[in-house]
Amino acid sequence: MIDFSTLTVMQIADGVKSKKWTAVEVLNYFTDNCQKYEDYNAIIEIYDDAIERAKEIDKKVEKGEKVGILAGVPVINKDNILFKNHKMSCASNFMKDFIAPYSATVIEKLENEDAVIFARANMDQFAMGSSNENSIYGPCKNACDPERVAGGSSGGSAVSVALNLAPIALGTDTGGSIRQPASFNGVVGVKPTYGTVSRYGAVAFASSTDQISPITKTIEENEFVLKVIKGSDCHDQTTIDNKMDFVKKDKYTIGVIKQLQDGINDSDSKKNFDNAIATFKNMGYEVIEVDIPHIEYSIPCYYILTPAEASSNLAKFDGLKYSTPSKEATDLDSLYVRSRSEGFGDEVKRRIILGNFVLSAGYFDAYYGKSKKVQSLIKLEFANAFKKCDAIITPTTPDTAFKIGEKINDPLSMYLEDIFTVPVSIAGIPAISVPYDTKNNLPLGLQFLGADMTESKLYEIAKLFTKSHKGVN
Amino acid sequence: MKVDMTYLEKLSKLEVDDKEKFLKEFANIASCFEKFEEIEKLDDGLPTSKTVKISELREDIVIKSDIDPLLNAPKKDKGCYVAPLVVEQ
Repeated sequence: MIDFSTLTVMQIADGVKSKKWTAVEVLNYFTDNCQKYEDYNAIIEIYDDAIERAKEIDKKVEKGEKVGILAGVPVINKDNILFKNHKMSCASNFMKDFIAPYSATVIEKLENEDAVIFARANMDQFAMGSSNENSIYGPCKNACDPERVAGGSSGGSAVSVALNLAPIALGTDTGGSIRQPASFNGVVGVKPTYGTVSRYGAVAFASSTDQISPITKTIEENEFVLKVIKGSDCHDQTTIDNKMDFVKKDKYTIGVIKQLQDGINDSDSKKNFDNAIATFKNMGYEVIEVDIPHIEYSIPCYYILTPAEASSNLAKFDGLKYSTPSKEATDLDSLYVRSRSEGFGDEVKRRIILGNFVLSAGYFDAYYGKSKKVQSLIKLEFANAFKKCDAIITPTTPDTAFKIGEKINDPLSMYLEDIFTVPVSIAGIPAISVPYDTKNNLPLGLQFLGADMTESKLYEIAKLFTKSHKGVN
Repeated sequence: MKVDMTYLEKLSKLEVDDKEKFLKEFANIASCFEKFEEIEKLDDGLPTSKTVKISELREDIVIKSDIDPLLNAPKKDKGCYVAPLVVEQ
């Protein structure tokens, strides 16, 4: 049997097109892997009809019909992205039995290229969390050490790619939900420029920073898939036409953020990061220090803005329009309160209440209003920094994956895990997390940040870097 | 910082089981917001709107849809949702 895990997305599709193997064979290989690694709890469901879809693609090939550039490539979907007539639960009790009435734009784009959407991945409930522990299905385990967290919220997606359950998994990233689990599991994850990928069909957490994007094993595959799913969409008025093209240079200038140097947790991780800087210098690139004075306010800014949006976005989950009403309800008000209290987990409740707090009279100007202004300043400071450099590098996370249960009772400490990823989301700029080293056999990710719509340049710099880089460990 | 939990629960249409634990965690999180006090007055001219330009709106026209609005209705009858009786006395 062919080991499809050693092939890239492009090679798998080429093989299907040239009849070296069939889409059914490819799908069976990956679904077998899903069963083999069931204990990791990365997958919630394998869709029953996926095999029919694979057969359809094989028939098209057999008949000599035109097939797409992702012919027969299996894709795992995150459990907060709609796939028509399939379950989507947001890993919550509230949506446990919800059937998607339509497909998200990203799903349609992938299917138009003949990809096979075949399973849905575990995640933090309503995409709120950094560990994948806030799921009604239980925590997803880290691909490198099952006693550790997968990261979140797209933990199931990242673990799926790392364990070869699929060559592509979709995730959503609001403040690092793709990049952090990608870093924890040694795979590649991107958060594109805000608006690059349509959010139509993704359950909104914080609409002003949510983005759907792919997780893959290599940088090349990630770029390939992002090009398929990007594009403006009449269903999402915030989408932009990101061309993803750029002019190559011989040497690039790399920025390091002065204010973030203290955010790296220990001397070993600092050694890993300094080694990455040394690689760029050995490549003949100039490495400069850049100033983002307000970046230290990113965490409070993010945890004010996103819960505020979440409190509004999740108001529609009332037990009538979604889910079944609570049996304990005695009147209309208690129907809403009981249904929501039974349906949401602790972290979701915390963020909704936090959002209502920062939006309430007496706190709005001091918190929400000020955060919006700080957001503008951070965006401006990044724009100024990118006048001096092509890309900025940071570690993706302060350290490697932590133990399951270690931070679940300390929400603030969990939020601080996002110190390197949230500034990117607040500024709306693109960033890619690429595995670059290990510490105690656990992967570490390096994050490449760029100006608006410079994804292709970031992919190029990341590719050149990984070719030259030798990790400390 | 004074947090009126009953008021916030009412605004959020939620009930929290362990209020004491929740308030402790909440105060801990809210303490990081106090960092904002370090920032001196911010320019009133700073934009507070979207970070990217909004693309053009689509035409507001009626289109045929194959979406079944009753797909997820727990109970349905004659093309309508059946909701529990919630009219109060």
